[in-house]
Amino acid sequence: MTLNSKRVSLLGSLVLLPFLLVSAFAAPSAVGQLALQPAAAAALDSFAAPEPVLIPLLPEAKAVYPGTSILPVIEDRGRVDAILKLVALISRGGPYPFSQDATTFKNKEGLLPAMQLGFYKEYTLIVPRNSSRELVIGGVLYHLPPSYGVRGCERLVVGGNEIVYYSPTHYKDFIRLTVLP
Amino acid sequence: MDVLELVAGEAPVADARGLSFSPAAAAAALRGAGWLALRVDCAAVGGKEALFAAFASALGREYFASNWDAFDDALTSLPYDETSASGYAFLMENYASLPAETAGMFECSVKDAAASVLSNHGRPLKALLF
Repeated sequence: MTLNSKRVSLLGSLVLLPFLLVSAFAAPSAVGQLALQPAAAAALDSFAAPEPVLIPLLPEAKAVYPGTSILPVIEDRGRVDAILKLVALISRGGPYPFSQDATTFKNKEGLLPAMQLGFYKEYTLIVPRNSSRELVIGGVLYHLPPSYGVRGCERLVVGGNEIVYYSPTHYKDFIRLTVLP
Repeated sequence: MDVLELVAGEAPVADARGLSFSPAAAAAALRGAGWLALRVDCAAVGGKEALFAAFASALGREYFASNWDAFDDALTSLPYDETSASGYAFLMENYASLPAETAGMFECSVKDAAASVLSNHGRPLKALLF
């Protein structure tokens, strides 16, 4: 048993030896090539798949940024414009027309991911008069409740000062929006 | 203790059971004092959807979505600035019929809304339990 192990070990060394030798001689020349050819070095770098560098983000670094379009596609130009306008207002920090704006959304029904109280803030989305009560977002049809009161039934909810959700149905549905620059 | 003394207290949710006045008498006394008083009968309310429906009909609102977030929104969105009421009272009749979980959520909503209405509109909002 012991003898066999030694034999295997010895065999392994012998088998590996040529490769080790080749490596030993090849390595300096490879380094030389890299030093001489920056383009090749860059190409190799792209294969290196470095560990992602995690830069801690301060809370102040998170922000809502204004944009010019939204994903998923909302098939209503008036609503898209209203959302972009409100997003721009949020990015400036107001001033907001209603006392309920920028207040904490409590997520009582738990439709958004559970976070600490105060993580979500809500904003009234005012849409053009006589906007359709049927709305297609990302290919999905939503039936909007009849609008009531001056604030209507549509809201934006912002999580952690960066994640924007749209609720067209008075907190019944939430659609996460990506605002494109 | 009469109903005006009861609503003068700090608590947004006040238990009127065992006191000498009826919901009808309380509503009349509150209205006489300039309050908006709405009676909400919980006798047939077996859960939150029925509670929301009872409120929607008491408020005369066209609609609010059937969820607690929408209910909170509705309570803080009453036309406070368009009315000159000195306070807002929901008289919750047959309150014991409400399932405990629904009652707990309801009282939490009233407390939150009362704080918001007091700070934004300077007027009290109360739920009186009968």
